[in-house]
Amino acid sequence: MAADDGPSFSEELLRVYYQRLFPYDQMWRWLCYGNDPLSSSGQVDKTYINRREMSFTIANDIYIRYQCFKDKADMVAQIQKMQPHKMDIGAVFSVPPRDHATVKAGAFKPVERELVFDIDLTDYDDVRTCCSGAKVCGRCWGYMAMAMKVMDASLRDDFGFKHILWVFSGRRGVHCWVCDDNARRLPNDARSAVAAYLSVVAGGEGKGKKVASLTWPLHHALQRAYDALEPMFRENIIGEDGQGLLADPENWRKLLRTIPYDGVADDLDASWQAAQFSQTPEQRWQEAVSAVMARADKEAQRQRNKKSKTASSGGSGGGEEGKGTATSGYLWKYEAVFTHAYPRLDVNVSTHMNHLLKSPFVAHPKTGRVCVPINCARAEEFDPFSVPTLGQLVAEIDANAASQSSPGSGDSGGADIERTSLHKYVQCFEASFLRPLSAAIRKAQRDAADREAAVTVDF
Amino acid sequence: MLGLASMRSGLEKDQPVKRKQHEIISMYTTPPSEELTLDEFELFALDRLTVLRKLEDLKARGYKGREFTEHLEKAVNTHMKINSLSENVEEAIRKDTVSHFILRLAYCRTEDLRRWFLTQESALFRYRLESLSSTGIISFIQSNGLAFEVVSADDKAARRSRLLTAPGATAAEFERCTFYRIPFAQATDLIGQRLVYLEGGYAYVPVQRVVAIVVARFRAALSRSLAEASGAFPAVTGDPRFGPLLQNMSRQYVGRDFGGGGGGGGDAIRPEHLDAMAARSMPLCMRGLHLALRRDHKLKHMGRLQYGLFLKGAGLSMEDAAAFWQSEFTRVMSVDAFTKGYAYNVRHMYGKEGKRTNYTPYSCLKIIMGAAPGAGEHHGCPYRHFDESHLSALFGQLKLERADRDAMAAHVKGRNYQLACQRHFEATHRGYEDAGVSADGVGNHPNAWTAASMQYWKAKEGGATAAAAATAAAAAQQQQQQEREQQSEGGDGGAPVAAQS
Ligand code: SF4
Ligand SMILES: [Zn+2]
Repeated sequence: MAADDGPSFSEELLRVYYQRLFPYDQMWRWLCYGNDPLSSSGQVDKTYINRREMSFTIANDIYIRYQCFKDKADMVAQIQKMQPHKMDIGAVFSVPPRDHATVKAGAFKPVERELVFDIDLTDYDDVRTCCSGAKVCGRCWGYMAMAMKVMDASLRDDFGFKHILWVFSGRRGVHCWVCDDNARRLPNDARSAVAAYLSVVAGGEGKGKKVASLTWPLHHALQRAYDALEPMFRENIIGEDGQGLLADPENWRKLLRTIPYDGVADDLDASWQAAQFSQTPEQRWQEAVSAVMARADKEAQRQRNKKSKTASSGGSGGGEEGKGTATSGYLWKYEAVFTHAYPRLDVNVSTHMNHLLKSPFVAHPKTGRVCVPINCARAEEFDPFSVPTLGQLVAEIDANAASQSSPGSGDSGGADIERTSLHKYVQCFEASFLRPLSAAIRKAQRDAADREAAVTVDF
Repeated sequence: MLGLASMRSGLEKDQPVKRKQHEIISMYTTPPSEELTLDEFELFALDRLTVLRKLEDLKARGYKGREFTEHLEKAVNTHMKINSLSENVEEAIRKDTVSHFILRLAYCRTEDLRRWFLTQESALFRYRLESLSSTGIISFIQSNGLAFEVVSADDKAARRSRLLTAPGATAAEFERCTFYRIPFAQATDLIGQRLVYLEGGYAYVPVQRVVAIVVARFRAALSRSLAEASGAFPAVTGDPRFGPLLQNMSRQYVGRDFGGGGGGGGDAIRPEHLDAMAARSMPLCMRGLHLALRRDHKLKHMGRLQYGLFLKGAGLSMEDAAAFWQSEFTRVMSVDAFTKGYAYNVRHMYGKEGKRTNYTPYSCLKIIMGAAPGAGEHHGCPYRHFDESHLSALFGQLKLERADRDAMAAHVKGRNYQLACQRHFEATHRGYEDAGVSADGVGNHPNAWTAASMQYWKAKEGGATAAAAATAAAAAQQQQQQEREQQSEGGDGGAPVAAQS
């Protein structure tokens, strides 16, 4: 129920947004990682923030790379001057990116960068039934919630990362920023390895995405992913108010076709059709899983017998290599759930340190919606359509100001932002991401100071 | 680090200790302190070089697994004898160490030399480690001070079921197996393929898989040492005795020499392919020569040699080469004039005239260091021999993305011509690694560039056609299915139709 009175994005709205609402302070504290150039501490790296590349896309799609900020005032001034329609964050380089052309070749190289991931709904087009392409609805958001849960668990439990920021990409996806110290310093090959570890659904652009061949027993991380995804798969994918995979014959046959045993699919199809209006998708799923498992057990038994007797048991089904084996049956439910629910990463974004990624809190020029942080623990509650647009935010300032005493001439966005629905997102950014990050940085700085005296480098 | 000075003072020698298998493998952390004659110096280095070349060649020919090991073993046994615990083991160890350090110096000078050396040495090291038993590897790790944390029995038992989910793990061997706890960033190969259990940022690596990590360490350390050594290179080569030897060694082209052709990515090259090859599968030096030849219907001597030998290396037969050159040249001269003046030339390149030397195609090093092209000449390396405006005009014609063009220009500015050339390859062969193409020799040899490119297009176009056919088939099937479903209510659930909607 967005207010459709005016535009959601325009240069005029942008001006107000950058003037009165953009959370400069929080963004600044994040990107400095404790290295404010104006700090008096001897511990900070004063050149740090000035070596961070930012890029602006300004009016008429003009793209300007290699920008950087000297200090906070410079950041505010530049953003307000450029009025970027889009702003991307790049790597921290060895020298300020503005100087990239004047230094010796090879002297300009990325030295640090958050480990980032990009998940986009268009990568789900071969399984999405509700929409396709740039279109998004509440139902397909389920894919993003599922992706976030799996990724977040793996990044924390397997890789030990703690400072993970999830951000709505403004239209049809999410971005993930892993900001731990060791994540920021990962070389490209390690980034590729992490991305590969997290990828299960592989395949070319759009078409023919497939679950890479799984091995039995399943790797611990995949078993955990399955355990988390299976309930969400039942909720978001198979039912009528989800993607409807098991809601009607046309859709359920897509799933049945993937069963590696002849006959099983036909039997299920027949019985489901007979009971089409008395069975729930949930029941069909359970039935399919147990039918395939039962057959897999039988195959396993048969293979054992065959091994001991080396005689062929001339049954009607099976026969080929791989397809009809017991293992293929045991893996079937995993492949089914992963095909429809496992996160699909755009790995190219993750594997290179100097890949730029859209900054949080900028607005998407097409939708006008602000790229707000998402609380991963409550990802399924996130509603992309309730994310405020620039138009909405500006209207909120005016409306709420009218109801209060005076508009206040101060330049601090603080008062203004509290009157808008952006406020809670900035608060979430502050509480669940910035504060723990700052605490960790302070602790690291204290530890470094403690060590300082005793250190002699042995290299 | 390394310094040759230390090679001259004799130290601990002739200790008849009994060596264990793992002790003959070195991570080359300490330079040798050995008395060494100049002859030994050269001989040791060339023997090692032969092994490294062989190794590269085996890889390039796609040898893997057992076959690779067996072939390499032969070369190692012939030239280095570091495999067995023979009575000469001390001598073999000495030669191994000394030759490694000499080549390290000889190959530290440029980025490409360093990369080449690093690749081959790491592969040799891996091959040697893989010959060890589990106990051998454990001992190797201990005696080389690799501080890998061993997972305690309790920690291991507590994770039993999870550790067993790693591919290849078996319950039978679990109790006996040593696990190491290693920061994940050091275990990238294993992580990427999900081959190990991961927890809290640490990979739990069973001893059979730890080789990958030791090799990664070795590689990183060697890479650092090479970079450091490059700074010392000028000083070292100032030594009147081994300076020239070192310099000379690094000038030798060390990759595949393409002397026997086979640089066409597996297929025979015919004259009618050359235009298409020039458009997408030749580095700029050869592309320029080809275009000049097609435009002017002649090339000067140096250009004929550079391009002609390249074509030979790419697999153009002598008969085809003769026909090709003749068809071009005779557009500006009579057949008679061609036969008299140039046919000999072509046969000569193929070793069929004169001294009957089998001339090998030029490597990048040779082209780059060779004589610059004069007026009306087109040989040389454009990155090296073109001026800036000329080069940027050339880049402009190539339809490159801005970032690639900039990067290439930057490499040229930094005098890294071969890196620029490599970037050109990468920019025009996106995803070549995924296509299974190795770009190892790209930027070292024009024929390697072409071979990799042809392989790439073959994989790509083979794949694309297959994919297109598959899509078409799926679409057709889907349509059939729809028609069937319109006729009767129940569809055929078993048909393997692509699930797309
Ligand atoms: S670097 Fe080598 S292949 Fe590339 S253009 Fe120069 S000489 Fe040719
Ligand atoms: Zn939808």
